[in-house]
Amino acid sequence: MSIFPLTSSQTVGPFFEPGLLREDARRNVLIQPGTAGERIRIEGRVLDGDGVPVPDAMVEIWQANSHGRYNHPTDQGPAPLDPSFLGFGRSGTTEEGSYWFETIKPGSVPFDGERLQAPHICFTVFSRGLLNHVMTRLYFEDEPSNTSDPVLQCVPEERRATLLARRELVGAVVVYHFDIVLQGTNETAFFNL
Amino acid sequence: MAAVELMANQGDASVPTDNVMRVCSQWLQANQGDARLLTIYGFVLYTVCMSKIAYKSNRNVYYSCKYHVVWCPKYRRKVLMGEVVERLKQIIHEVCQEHEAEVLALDPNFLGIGRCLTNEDGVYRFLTIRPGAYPWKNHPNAWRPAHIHFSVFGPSMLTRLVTQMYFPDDPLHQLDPIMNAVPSEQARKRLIALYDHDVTEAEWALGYRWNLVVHGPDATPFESSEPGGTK
Repeated sequence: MSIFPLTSSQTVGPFFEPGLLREDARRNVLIQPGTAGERIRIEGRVLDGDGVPVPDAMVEIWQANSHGRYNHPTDQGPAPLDPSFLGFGRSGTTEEGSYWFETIKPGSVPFDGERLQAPHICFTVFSRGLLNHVMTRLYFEDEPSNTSDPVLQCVPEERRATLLARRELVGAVVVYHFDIVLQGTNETAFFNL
Repeated sequence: MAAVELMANQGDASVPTDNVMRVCSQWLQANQGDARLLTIYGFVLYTVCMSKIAYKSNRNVYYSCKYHVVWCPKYRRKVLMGEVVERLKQIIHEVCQEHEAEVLALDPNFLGIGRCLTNEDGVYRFLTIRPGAYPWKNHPNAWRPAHIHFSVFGPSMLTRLVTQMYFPDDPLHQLDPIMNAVPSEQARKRLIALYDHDVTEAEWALGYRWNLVVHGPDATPFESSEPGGTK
């Protein structure tokens, strides 16, 4: 037992909207005009165990820039920082359970001294009824390096597909579809950290 | 960084029911008996009214009533927003005028949301009002104990935490399913702030101390293997 035991998580209930999703607190658009990298739009829904949309969830993302570096003091990697890219996003969900982000496709981030990770985006999902938030990763279905990603390969093969975002070209916009299923047969693979 | 929501205050036993009823009925009238009255809840509006007649007396007491009227979320709908709020404010002023009551404070003086960065010692501070318990219909006679929602960011995804702070000596704690979702009594106790007289400021505000403990930076092997504080 640690001397300082962790504070327990508690649901925020239905109060994301007034508290954490005000206009000055949400961040669907991560890019600025000067941001380097391939523009992508991420769209998806948060679904419960019955496949019913969760209308009041909150989705947060955290990702590296297009060079594969996090805008964070502990990332002292050699890849350049992009001053116009923070990498943090937050979206609520609509009545249909939908969330969206406009961002860039991240570069590959080192895993250890030798291996690289496939481009991915870290997801945290908060929802009424969840005693603790859940964490997962979005991978890009058209990314060849997925097969060598050490984290993705930890996920049982039959569940890896739940982490792959489906690419679609809508006009000139690259859209990746990524639904998050909280429970049930198609439950998204969540990471227990 | 911490973001806090403070969502509701039901006032005390002296809530002026007649004023509330009047406001509600006038609001209804203004909307042609629209059924939306049922969904008037949905956003907090915090109001303080006080009679213009400063003191009253009877055989035993000499008193001055101050009323706190609060609308708190009953159903999960956003109704008290935009034009509805504006109209409601007008009506509150009209009703108070009619009753010769003075509105001391009316939304937006209390929004219920705060955010601050911790200093190098990890210290944060908020000055707010103490919220009240509110009914939430989860089960018969269900009341949430007074609480404040906390959302905490730290240096990594592991330190992300959303939780609730409670106040000491609240008999509702043991009846609350949300607080009791935390299975250990010790862990539940850690969600309760402690009264601290050193934090209390004279003639101004009672002080509570509540420490949050989040994962340390070396909590998992993933941390050192992937910089940037991801999983």
